[in-house]
Amino acid sequence: MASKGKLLQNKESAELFNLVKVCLQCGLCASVCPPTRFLLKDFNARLLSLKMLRKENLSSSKGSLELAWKCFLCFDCSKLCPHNIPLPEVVIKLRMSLLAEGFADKIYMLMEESMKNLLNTGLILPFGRINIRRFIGLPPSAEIPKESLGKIKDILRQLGFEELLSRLSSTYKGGVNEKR
Amino acid sequence: MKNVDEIPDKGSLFVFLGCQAKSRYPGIEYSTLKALKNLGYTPYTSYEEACCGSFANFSGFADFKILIALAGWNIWVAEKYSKNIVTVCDTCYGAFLRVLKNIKENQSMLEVEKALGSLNIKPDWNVNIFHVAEVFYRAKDKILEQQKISLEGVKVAVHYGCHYMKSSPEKVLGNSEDPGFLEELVSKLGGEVVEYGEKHLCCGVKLNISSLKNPKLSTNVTKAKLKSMKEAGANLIVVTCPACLYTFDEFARNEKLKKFSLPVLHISELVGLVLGFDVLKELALQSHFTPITLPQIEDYLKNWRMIRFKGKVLT
Repeated sequence: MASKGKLLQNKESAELFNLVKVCLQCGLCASVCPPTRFLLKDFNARLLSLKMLRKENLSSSKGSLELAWKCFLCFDCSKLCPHNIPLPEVVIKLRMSLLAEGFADKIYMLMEESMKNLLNTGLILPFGRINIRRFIGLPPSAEIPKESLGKIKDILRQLGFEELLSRLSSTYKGGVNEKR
Repeated sequence: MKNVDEIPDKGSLFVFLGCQAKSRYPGIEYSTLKALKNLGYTPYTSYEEACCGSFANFSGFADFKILIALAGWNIWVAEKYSKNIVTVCDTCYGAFLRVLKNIKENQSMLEVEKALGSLNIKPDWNVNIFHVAEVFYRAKDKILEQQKISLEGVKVAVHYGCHYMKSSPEKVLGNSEDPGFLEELVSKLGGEVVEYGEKHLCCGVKLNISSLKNPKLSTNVTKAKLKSMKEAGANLIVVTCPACLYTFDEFARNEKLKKFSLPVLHISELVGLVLGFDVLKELALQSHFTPITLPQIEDYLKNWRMIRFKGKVLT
């Protein structure tokens, strides 16, 4: 079970607030946002901005926690916003906090393999269609050469990505740190 | 707004493939390289390239500094070959632009350059990022000269993709509301462009975290997009992004959704097709789930299932 930390500490709340503080609640974002259009009650881009403006405690309602994960990151909102509010960046920051503080069990389970792939192979998706690659005359393997992969992994390690994955693993899987 | 003159018309290019194309559609890799060569460029690729990091960043796992570091690595790999980096994926394109737009003010730069520098990786951030669709437009006259297959009878719905159009609208070639360059290219190649109501809607991105968690939402968006295209009379979709390609293509896998699907091609596959590349041995269209039912290539695709599942080639 995920051990839930405190969601959106003061510094993070302030950061998110700063990103949206010029929001007039005009609703242009919501008018183009695909999840807003297709989900109606369950997601609203303008409402998301409002919650950041109010520095709302998102862990107070399950609906609020789900908001961050519905965004397509299509950038429709930021393109249209008269004040250039980077709502996609807000969503990304929110997602990072939700994950780090233990509020995203399902998300972690869905994404764990891809993230481990990135750490271990330098690619988020394994290269595939090996038979077709061979058939058309491409090298069957698109693996990153060992030496370079070692450097990429080192860089990710130095910047804390490996540590983050470890921490998330223990947050969501309880103490068992898988090291490959 | 990007000007067409900014796009190189010859010389060396580094083609950044990205994870999607390498994972599912090898024809994009093959066709992009061969087409660019035929059009007078010297294209290079390298499997030293790493993931652009967008997916990890969008899902909330990798923060911006990871994106910068991966871009730094990829730029360092690319510049050994060329200062002109060409992507075949909208999201990779968006990632490079997002990073290059923000590095001057970003506080993590020192940390990233230290990490890269510790391994002797010192990218010169002064590179030019293009999308392969832009390059093909630049080379349109040469494509017309070498065109072997006409797009007559093909009614094309063009879909630019969100990360090309919207994540850095100031870098779009042409009007960011309606770039128009692919439509022009398709028309010149003999195809008919159909305008459809949901042109600016996201494809539904089958692969992002929102869709993985809410598959019905993604399906409904893609369905709306496809319905709009069909109503306008389209019989082919042309996309600039392998993720959009997968999203549309994958519809044919589901028994219930199959009836909504339309054949879809990546711009590199379309250019390869008109230049007369072999549908199976070069474009690898057998890797698509939705058969490309164009009369121009009917002979090849008569036995779609045989080709897909048994690897048999028609002589």
